[in-house]
Amino acid sequence: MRSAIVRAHLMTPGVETELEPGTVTREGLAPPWHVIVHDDPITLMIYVTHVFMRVFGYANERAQALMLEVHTRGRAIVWTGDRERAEQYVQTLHGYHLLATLDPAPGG
Amino acid sequence: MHIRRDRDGGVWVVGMPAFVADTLRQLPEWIASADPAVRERLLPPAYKDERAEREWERLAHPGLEHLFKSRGEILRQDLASLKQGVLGAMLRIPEPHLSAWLSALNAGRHALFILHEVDPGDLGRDLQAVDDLAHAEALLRMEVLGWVQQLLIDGGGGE
Repeated sequence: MRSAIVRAHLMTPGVETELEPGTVTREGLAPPWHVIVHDDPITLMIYVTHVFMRVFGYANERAQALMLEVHTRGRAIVWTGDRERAEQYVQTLHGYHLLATLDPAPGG
Repeated sequence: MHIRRDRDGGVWVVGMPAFVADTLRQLPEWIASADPAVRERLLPPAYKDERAEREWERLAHPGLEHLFKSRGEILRQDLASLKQGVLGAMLRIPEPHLSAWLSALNAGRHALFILHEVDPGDLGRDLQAVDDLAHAEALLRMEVLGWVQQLLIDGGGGE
């Protein structure tokens, strides 16, 4: 099992950059993984929506729906795909201080 | 207190009450807290599987630690120019720093929550009903950080 864990954040002094999903070499071959975001009582809902829009490029409506799912159900699958990219997304979400984990997608 | 955008895409937080300015000044210290529970929250697990999690910590955490350290430096740099105006303190946040600020404000809320052992049930509670003054102050500072965060997002500062 190859861990595809994340490239380092590239930092320019005074400028914060984000991890960008990298080149995927095994897309379509490896089983998919879920990126799951868990609820916490501290993070503001407006911020969670903002992060989903920024990280995944989701439209406001989709980001809000996912945020509400996290809030009401305690967790939501926010993205599914190859493991390498899922890990990059989780690291990026941790950079925003959201509780994010990876799970293999059932039947993947 | 409100947000004003400047020509370069940065924002001014203007009309800050002294308590808000004081709270922001302390933010870099809180997010750099060495308290194990704070570090654990800021570096949460990614995997249920122990082996995968160990690998994750080995490879992902250094990048995150570097990010958090850089973020603290960004905040200190901006806070150095915080100045007192007639109607309150003013802080300019350059556009490239906005994302760092939004994340740091969230991290600060988490750090205060942990450091002051805040009960989730106390969030949003009438502070006058909180007996412990230190506890009430932590709750108020958490509210302040959330208020600034919301202003920055509503003001388009997070775009």
